[in-house]
Amino acid sequence: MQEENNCIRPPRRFKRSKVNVIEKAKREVEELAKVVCDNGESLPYGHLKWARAKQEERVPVAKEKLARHNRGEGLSEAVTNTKLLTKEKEIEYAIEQAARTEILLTEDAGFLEVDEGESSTQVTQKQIANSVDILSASKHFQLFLEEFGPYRINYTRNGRYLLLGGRKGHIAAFDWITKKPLCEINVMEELFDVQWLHNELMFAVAQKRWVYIYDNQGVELHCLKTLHNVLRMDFLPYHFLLACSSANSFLSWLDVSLGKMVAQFPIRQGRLNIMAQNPYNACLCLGHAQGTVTMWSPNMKEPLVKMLCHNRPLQALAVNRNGMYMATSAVDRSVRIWDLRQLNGPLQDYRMAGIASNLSFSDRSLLAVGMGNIVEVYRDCCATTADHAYLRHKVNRSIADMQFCPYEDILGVGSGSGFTSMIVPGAGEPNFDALESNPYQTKRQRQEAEVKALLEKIQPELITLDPYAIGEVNVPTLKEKMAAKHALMLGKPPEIDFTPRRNKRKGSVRAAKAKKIVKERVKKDYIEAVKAISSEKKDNDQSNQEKPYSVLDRFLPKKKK
Amino acid sequence: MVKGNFVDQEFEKEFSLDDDQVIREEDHGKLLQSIEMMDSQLRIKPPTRTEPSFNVSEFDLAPIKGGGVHLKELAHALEVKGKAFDSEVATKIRTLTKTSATLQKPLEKNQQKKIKRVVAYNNLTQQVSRWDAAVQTNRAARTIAFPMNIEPVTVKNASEVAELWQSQSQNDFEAGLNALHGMSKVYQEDTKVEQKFRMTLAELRLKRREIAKLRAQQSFEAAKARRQNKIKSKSYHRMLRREKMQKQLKEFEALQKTDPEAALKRLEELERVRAEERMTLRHKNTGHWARSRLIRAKYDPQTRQQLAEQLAVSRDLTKKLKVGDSSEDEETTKEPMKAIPGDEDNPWITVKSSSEIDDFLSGYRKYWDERNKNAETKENAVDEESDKYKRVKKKEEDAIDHSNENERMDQLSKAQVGDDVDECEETICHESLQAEEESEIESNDEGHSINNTLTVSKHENEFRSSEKIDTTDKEYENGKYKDNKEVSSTDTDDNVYTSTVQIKNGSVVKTKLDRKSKRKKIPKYEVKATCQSWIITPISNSEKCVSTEKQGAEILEAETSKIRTSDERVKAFLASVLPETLENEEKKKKKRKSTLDKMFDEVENNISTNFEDRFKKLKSHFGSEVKIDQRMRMMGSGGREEEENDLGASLAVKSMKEARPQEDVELLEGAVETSGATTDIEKLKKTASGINSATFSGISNGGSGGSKGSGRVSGNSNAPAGANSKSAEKNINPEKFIAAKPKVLLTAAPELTNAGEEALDDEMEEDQQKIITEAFADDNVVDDFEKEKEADIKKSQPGEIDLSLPGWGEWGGAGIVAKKKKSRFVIKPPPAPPRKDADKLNVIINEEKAEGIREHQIWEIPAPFRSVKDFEASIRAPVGRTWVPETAHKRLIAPTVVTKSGVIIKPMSEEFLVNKKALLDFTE
Repeated sequence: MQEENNCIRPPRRFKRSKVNVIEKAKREVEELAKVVCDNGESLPYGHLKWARAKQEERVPVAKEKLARHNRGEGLSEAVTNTKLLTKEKEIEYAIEQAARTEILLTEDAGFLEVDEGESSTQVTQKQIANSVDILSASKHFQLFLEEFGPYRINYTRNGRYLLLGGRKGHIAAFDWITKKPLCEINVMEELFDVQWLHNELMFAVAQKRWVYIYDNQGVELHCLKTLHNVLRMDFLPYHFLLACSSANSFLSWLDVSLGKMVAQFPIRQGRLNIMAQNPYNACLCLGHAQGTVTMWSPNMKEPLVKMLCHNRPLQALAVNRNGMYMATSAVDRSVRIWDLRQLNGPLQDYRMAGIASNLSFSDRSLLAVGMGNIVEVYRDCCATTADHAYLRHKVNRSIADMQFCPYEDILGVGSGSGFTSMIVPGAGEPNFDALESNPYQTKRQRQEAEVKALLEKIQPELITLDPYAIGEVNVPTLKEKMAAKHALMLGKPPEIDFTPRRNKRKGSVRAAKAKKIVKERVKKDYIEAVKAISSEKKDNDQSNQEKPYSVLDRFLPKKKK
Repeated sequence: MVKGNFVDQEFEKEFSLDDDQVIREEDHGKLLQSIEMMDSQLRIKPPTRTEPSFNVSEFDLAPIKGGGVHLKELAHALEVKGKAFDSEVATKIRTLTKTSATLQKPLEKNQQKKIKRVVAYNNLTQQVSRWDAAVQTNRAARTIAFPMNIEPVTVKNASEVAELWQSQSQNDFEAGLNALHGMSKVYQEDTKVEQKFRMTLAELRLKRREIAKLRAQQSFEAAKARRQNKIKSKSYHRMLRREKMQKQLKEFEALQKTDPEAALKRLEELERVRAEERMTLRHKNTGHWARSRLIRAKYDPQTRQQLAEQLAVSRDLTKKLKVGDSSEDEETTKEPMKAIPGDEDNPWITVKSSSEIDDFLSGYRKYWDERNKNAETKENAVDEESDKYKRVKKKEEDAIDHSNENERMDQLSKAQVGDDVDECEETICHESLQAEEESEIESNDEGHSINNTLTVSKHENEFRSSEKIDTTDKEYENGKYKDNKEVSSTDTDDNVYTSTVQIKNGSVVKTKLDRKSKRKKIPKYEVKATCQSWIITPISNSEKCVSTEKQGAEILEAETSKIRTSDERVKAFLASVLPETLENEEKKKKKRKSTLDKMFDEVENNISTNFEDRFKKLKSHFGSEVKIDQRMRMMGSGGREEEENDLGASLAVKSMKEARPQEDVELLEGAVETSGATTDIEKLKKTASGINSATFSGISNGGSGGSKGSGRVSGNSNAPAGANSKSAEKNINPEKFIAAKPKVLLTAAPELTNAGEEALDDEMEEDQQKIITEAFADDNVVDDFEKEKEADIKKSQPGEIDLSLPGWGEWGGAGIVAKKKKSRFVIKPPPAPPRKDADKLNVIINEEKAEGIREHQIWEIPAPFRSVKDFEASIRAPVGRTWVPETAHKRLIAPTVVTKSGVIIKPMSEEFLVNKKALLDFTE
C-alpha cells in the first residue's frame, strides 16, 4: 500500500492537441446549436431537418385563440397552384402569429364579487370607492351643475378627456382624471349635443341653429351653417366624418379633414333624436317613432337595413364595440338585444320597470340602462339572459346622457343635476393598443397619431354594411343583367371606328376588303347574339314541357342550335 | 500516307478520264461484262480486291455465292500431313468460331440516322429533364434570391492570408520587375506617397470635376460627330475631306520632326492603304458619275478637267513607288508629270496641277478615299450586275437547302470547284480567309462592293464573290437577311450605302422570303394573341375572322382590340346574359367553356316544375283544406302547428327554398366567370340533387300526414323560433318572432320621468303609459312594415322586357278582338336569387349595391383563379403591419425576386442539381 502511495506518478504529458483552436470553438458552437429531436437524434446547425425541428419546438396555439383571429374560409380544394397555396400558408402563419401575440395582453378584467346571498346591485358607489385604491377612488366623482342642465357628455377616443354640454349652453372640457380644465364657456343659446373630433384639440357642438366647432380653449373655429337643427352628432374616427342627424329629418356626413360635406339627404322619418354608430362598419343606426331602426351609409339614399324592432316608438339605441349587438328600448318599457351581424333577433327581450331612455355599451359589452333617474348596469345580458342588474345607481334628476369611458371602469352619467362618474368594475378594456388609441398619449404621440390617422383615412365610399365588401369581386346583379339584355335588344350593332394602324395601305383594295370583313363580322355576331336571346326563350319553353323519353324521338326533327 | 496516295491515284484517274476522253480497254471490258451480265441473275458481282489496302468498304461485304471462305478451310493449310495442326491454334480457332458470329448487315442509312436521332433525343431530354425539379422549385418559390450559386462567405484571418501571399510563385519576369522596383527610388517614393497621403476632399472633387469635364467633352464630340454624319451635302463633305487631309499632313510633318519612328510607321500604314486602293477601280472614270461627265465633257471644259484630274489621280495611285531615299522619292514623283506633256486640247492628258492635285498625289488622302469607295462603286456598278447576280443567287439557293452548316460549307466549296475550275487556288485561299471574314463586322459591304466590280477585274472578283456568298449564306442561316436593322446599329456613311445596295441586289429573294415569313409568322402570332385575349373576354367577335382571313390579320387585330376595349363592359354582361350564344360559339371552337346561367335556369325550372307538380298532386289529395296565403309564406314555418300539420310538405319545400340562398347567390353571381364553370357546375348539380332529395323526403312525410311536419325541422336554423307564440291572428306581430319570453327584470322604478321633471304618482305614470300605447295602437306599425317590404321586393326584382310593337300584327276595325300573341314578345326575367332577408320577417335589407364601392372593387378575376370564391379567399387577409404582426407582415410582403447589387448573376450551374440533402446525410 505504501509503495503505491509513494510511487511517483509519471509526469503528466500534455499532448499538444492537433485540433485547431478555432475548430474547437466551432465544435462548441455546433454543440450549442444542436437540436435534439423527439426521437433523440441530435442535429447540427444548418441541417435541413434543423429548421423543421426548431419549428416543431414551438408551443402550439390554443384553438380558441386561433379561432379568434381567424380570417374566414380559405381557398377551396380545387386550387392547386403552388404559389397560391404558399400564400395561403403565409396567411395561416399570420393568424398564428397574431394568436401568439395575445400573450402580450397582460391585463385582465375583473368584476365585483359579493358574498353568497348578497347581490352586487346593493353595493353602492360609495362602498366601491372606499374599497378600491386611491387612484381608482378618485375616478368616482360628481359635478353638481344644476343651473344649465341637463348635460350631454362625451369622452375622447382614448378616454382621457371629457366634454360636458349643458342644455342651456354651458360647455366644459377637461382632463377628467386630473380634473384639469381645458376650457369652460357658455354659448348663450340652446345646445343639443357635444362631440369630440379625432382628438382632444377640437370639439363640435350642436347648438340651437347650427353646428359649431371649437378648439379646446373654447375658441370658435367654425360655424357650420350647412348643419342646422342638429340633434345628435357622432364622429367616425377612421373616416374623419362628423355624422349629424337633425330635427328636420336630415342626415349629414361632414368630412372634418377637408371641410367637405360628403353626403346630406333627407330620410323623411321625422325627428332624428336617436342615433348611434356601428363601430364595426361605420354605418349609422337611427331609431324611429315607428319602432324601426334604420342603418345608413353616405353612399345610399335608401337605408341599408330597416329593422322592425318594437311596435312602439323607440327611446334609445346602442351598439356595442365590435358591432355584434344592438340594444334598443321603446316606450313600452322593453329593452331588446339584437344580433347585428346576422340581423337577427331579438336575442333577448327584457321588460323594465320604467322606460329606458338611455342605453350604453361598455368596452366589454356591459349594458348601462338609464331609466328616469336610475342607472342600472347589466352584465352578460346579450348572449345570455341576465337575471338582475349588476350595479344600480340613483342620481338626483333624470338622466340625459350616458357613456362608458373607453379603457376605464367608469360610466359617465350626464343628468339634469350635473355629471356623475360611476365606477363599474370590469367595464373597460384593460389592454389598450397604444398605436390605436393611447390614454397616456404625449403631445408628440398625439401629433404623430393625427398624421398617421390622416394618412390612413378611409374614404367614405367604403362605408357599407359588410366592411369586407372591398375584397369582393364586382359581379353584376340580376337587374343589371336584365338591363343589359334590354339594352342589347334595343341597340344597334356597334359602330366600328376603322382606322388602320399603318397608313401605308390607306386606300388599298386589301384595306377596304379587310374593313368590310370586319364590319360584316361584327354585324353578324351582333345579329346572332340577338337571335340567340329569342331562341333561348324558346328553349326555356321547351324545357318546361319536358316529355318523357320515347324510342320514336329520333324521328322527330332535330333541334336547331 | 497510304490513304493519301490512294486518294491521289483516284483523283488522277478521274482527271485523266476527263481530260483524255479516250476509251480505255479496261473500261471497255467492264462495259462488255455488264452487257453480258444482263441476262444472268446476279447483276452485281461480288467485289474482288485488286490491291492491298486497309480500307475495306462496307459495301463490299455482300454475301458471296457459295458461302465464301471458311476458317476451317484456311486452317487446313496449317495442317502437316498425318498430324493434326498445332493444338494452340486449333483451340483458338475453336473458340473463335464459337464466340464470333458474322457481322450483321449494316442498317440503311436513313434507318441509322433515325436511330441516331432517337438516341440523341433521348439523351438530350434526359439531360434537360434533370433541371425539371430545380425549375419547378424556383417557379413555385415565393422568393428567389439571386445570385443563386453564391458560395458561403468565409472570413480568413491575417495569418491565412499571409500564407497565401507567401505561397504565391513569381515567374521570372515578375521577379525581375520586383528587383527593378526595389532598385528604383522613384517607384518606392511613389508607392510611399500613395500609401502616405490619401486624397483630400478638395483633391477628390477636383479629380471628379476633371473626369466629369472629360466625359462632357466626349459627349459633345460624339454629338457633333453624329450631327456631321447626318449632313448630306457633298460640297460640305468635300470640304471636310480636304480639311482632314491637311490636318493629317500637318500631323505627319510634325511627327516627322518629333518622332521619326512613328512617322515611319504612319508612312507604312499609308502605303498599305494606298496599295489597297490601287487594287480598286477608283479614279478610273468607269463609274456612273464619270460616264455622265463624259457625255458632257465634249462641250464643257470644266468637266473635262475634272475627269482628267480623276485619271491623273488614278495614275498616281497605280504608280509604283520606289522605296528609297526621300530625295529619290521626290524625283520619281515628279517624273511622270514631266513625261506627260501638257496638252490643252487633249483633256485626257492635260493635268492642271493645283494644290489639290498635289494633295492627292501626296497619298495621305487615300485613307479617306478608301472609306468612301463603296459609295461610288455602287454608283458605277448597279447596272453591270444582273448576270453576276443570277449566279450568286443560284449558289445562295443551293446553300439554303442545307440546314447542317458543315455540310453546307462543304457543298459550297464543291460548287465553287465545279463552277470555276480555274480558280481552285483561290477557293482554298477563300477558305483560309473565312475565319477572318467571320470576325469582321462589316463583311457585308466588302462582299457587295466586290461583287459589283466583277466585270472589270475577273481575277479579284472571283475571289471575292465567294466571300460574298459566304456572307449571304451566313445571313440565310439566321433565317433572314440582316438588313436595315443591322446597318442602323452602326452609323457610318458607307454602311448605310451598302445596305441600300444590298436591298437592290437581293430584292427578289428578299421579298420572297419576307412574304413567306409574313404568311407564316404574322397570322400565327396574332391568332395566339387573340386567343389570349379571348380567354379574358369570352365573346369573340372576330377571332374566326383572324383565322380565316389571313390578309387582314393585322388590321383585324387592331380592330378586335378596339372593340374589346370599347365594349368590355357590355361583353361582360353579354357573357352572363347570353349564355346560349356563347355556348354555340364556344362549341365551335371546342373550348371547354360552358355557361352557368343556363344550367342554373334549367335546374331551377326543373325544380320548380317538380315542386309544382308534386304540390298540385298533394293539394288535390288533401282537398280544399289547404290554403296558402301570402302571409303564411312570409312567416315561413312559424306559428301554425295546429292548423296546418298537413301543410308540412309544402312548408318544407318553401323552407328548403329559403335555406338555399347563400349558395345560390354565389352560384348565380359566379356565373360571370366562365372559365371555372366546370367545377361550379358540379357544385350546382350537387346542390340541385340535394334539394331534390330533401324535398322528396319532406313530401313523403307530408304525404303520410301523421307526422308533424318533419320538414319544418330542416328549416332555417337562423329563423327565430316563432313557433312559441300561440296567437292565432294572421297579422305579423313582432311578438311572434321574439325568441324568448320577455324577461321581466326587477329593476328599480324611476322616481322621475323624462318629460316633466316632477315626481309622479304610480297611477299617473301608468295612465301616461296607457295613453302612449293607445296613441300608437292605431297606426299599425307591423302592417306598414310588411307592405313596405313587399314593395321593396317588387322593386328590386327586374321587370319583364316587352318587345311587342303596338299595332304590329293586329287587325284593326270594329268587332275585332286582338289576339294575345304578346307573350311571344315578352322576355321574362329569370327567377331572382333569393333575398338576404327572405327568412327574416322584421328586416328589409337593401340589395342594391352602392356605386361608390363598386368602383373600388375588382371586375375580373385575375389569371390563376377560376372562381370568385377562391379569389376572394385569397385577398381576405390584410397584409399591412397595422393589422398583422411584424414577422408575418415581413413574410407577406417578401419580394418575389431578391438580387444582390454589384454581383454578376450567372446562370444556374450544374452544382445546383446536386442533391445536397443526400450529400449531407452521406457525409454524416
